Parts: sequence; C-alpha cells; structure tokens
Amino acid sequence: MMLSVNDRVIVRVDLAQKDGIVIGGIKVLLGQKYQTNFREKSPVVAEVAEGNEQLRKGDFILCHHNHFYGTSPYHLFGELYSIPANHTIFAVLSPSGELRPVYGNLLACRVEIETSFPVPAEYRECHHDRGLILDGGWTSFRQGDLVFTRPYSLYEIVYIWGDEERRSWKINSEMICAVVRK
Amino acid sequence: MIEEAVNKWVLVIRDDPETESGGLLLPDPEKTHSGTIQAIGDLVTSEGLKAAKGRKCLFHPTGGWDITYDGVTYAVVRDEEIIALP
Repeated sequence: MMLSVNDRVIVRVDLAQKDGIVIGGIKVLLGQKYQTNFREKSPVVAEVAEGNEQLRKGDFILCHHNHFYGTSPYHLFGELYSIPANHTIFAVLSPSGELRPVYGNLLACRVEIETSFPVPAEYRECHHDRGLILDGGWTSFRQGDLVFTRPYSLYEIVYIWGDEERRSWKINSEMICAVVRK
Repeated sequence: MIEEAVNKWVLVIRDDPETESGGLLLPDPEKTHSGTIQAIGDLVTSEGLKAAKGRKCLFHPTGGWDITYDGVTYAVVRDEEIIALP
C-alpha cells in the first residue's frame, strides 16, 4: 500500500489510452479533433489509486497530459504515477460522464459578443476574456457568476462519452481578474 | 458596473485622454495610464493600495489590458504595475 505525501495524488494511467479508456462499460475517447489553437489538446484519463479530500480512491479524473510519459519524474512503477495535486488536475468524471471541476478549476460557458442586430450563427463571436460559470467546483465562484479572465485563458476540453461528443470550457481561478456576482 | 476584482488584479477606470492640443483636435489620442481605482483584488498585499479604492493612480504604460462591461471600460492591471497614488 503506497501513501501519497507532499500534496500529491497517486494515479493509475494506462499510457496506451491516449485514444480512449473504458469506464463502467462505456468507452471514453479523448482529443479526437484538434483545432488550430490546440486548446483541445488531449487531457488524460487517470484512475485515482490514493486520493485526498478532493479526490477519492477509484475516481476517474481528467488531467493535463504533460505528467505522463515513460521517463516522467512523476512515474513510480508500472501504471502508477504520483502527480502534484494542483490545477493540472482538471475535473472528476462522474459515472454519468459529467465533469466536476477540482483544484481551482471551474467549468464555464463562453459569452457571445452582443450585436445591435441579429447575426447568423456562423458569424457570432464570443468574448475571449470572460465566461459564465456553470460549476464553481471548490472555489468561491458560483453558478451564474460572470467572470473576467486574462485573454484566451478559457481551455476547451473535448471528450467523447459513449457515442456523444461533449465539450466543456475550463477556467483556472488564478486566471480570473474580476467577477460580477449573480 | 464591475465592483469586485479578485486575486492580485486591480480595476482602474482610465482618465479621459487629451483630445485637443494647441487648438487642434487630435485624431487618435493615446490611452492614458492614470485613472481612478474601481476595485482591488482580495490577494493584494500592499497596505497603501488596499485602502485606495476611489483614489487616483498612475500605472505602468505597458501594463494590463482593457475590458468593457455595461459600456464602461476598465484597465486591468497587476498590483505591482501601479506605480504611484498621487
């Protein structure tokens, strides 16, 4: 039995899963379509082997892919990695495929730029410096708050749950500069 | 109106730029780097700055960026980019 120390989380990662993983019989695919800005670059699904107050053993989490490669300093042995418990862990995947943000991350939706006359959908544009909170996670922000961020700091997570492509926008709370509370 | 800044950010409403010089209208006036402090983030540590809401300030000309909300434009600057409270 291995214990996590120094604010780390021990996770189990199958490196061959870069394309997908099966959770409870449902296949989850990641990073199938990249746009030119690479905002959708693949997060990795990991299973928590030894958690803490925010992550329980057995949770499936989405985290940044930079931690996981063969000679990674976070590698313990086999499929086990000891990764820092910080904002690079994006969210926990619920059994129904929903995301629950952790470690200062929030889920938000983008805010369209208002126009003085109706515009077809393909010409609508969104602000790149603000988002409407959908799930504040462990932060002080709540659903419905309008937050202003550093430009282009919204990070799109794309994953395919079963046959359905799902997209979420993630903001790290350190990137937020102002808020209008609901 | 944005009333709340977070982290180490400070919201400043810039002073109006000079639009006239020597009786001539300036076509493209430069943004000022002074203004009135509108909101101060919760992680700002400078005691002088924490109590400066509503005061005039000068900030670094290259610092921050602008956001517009409800027709009001704010300069978002880092606390260390504010260089003086005149």
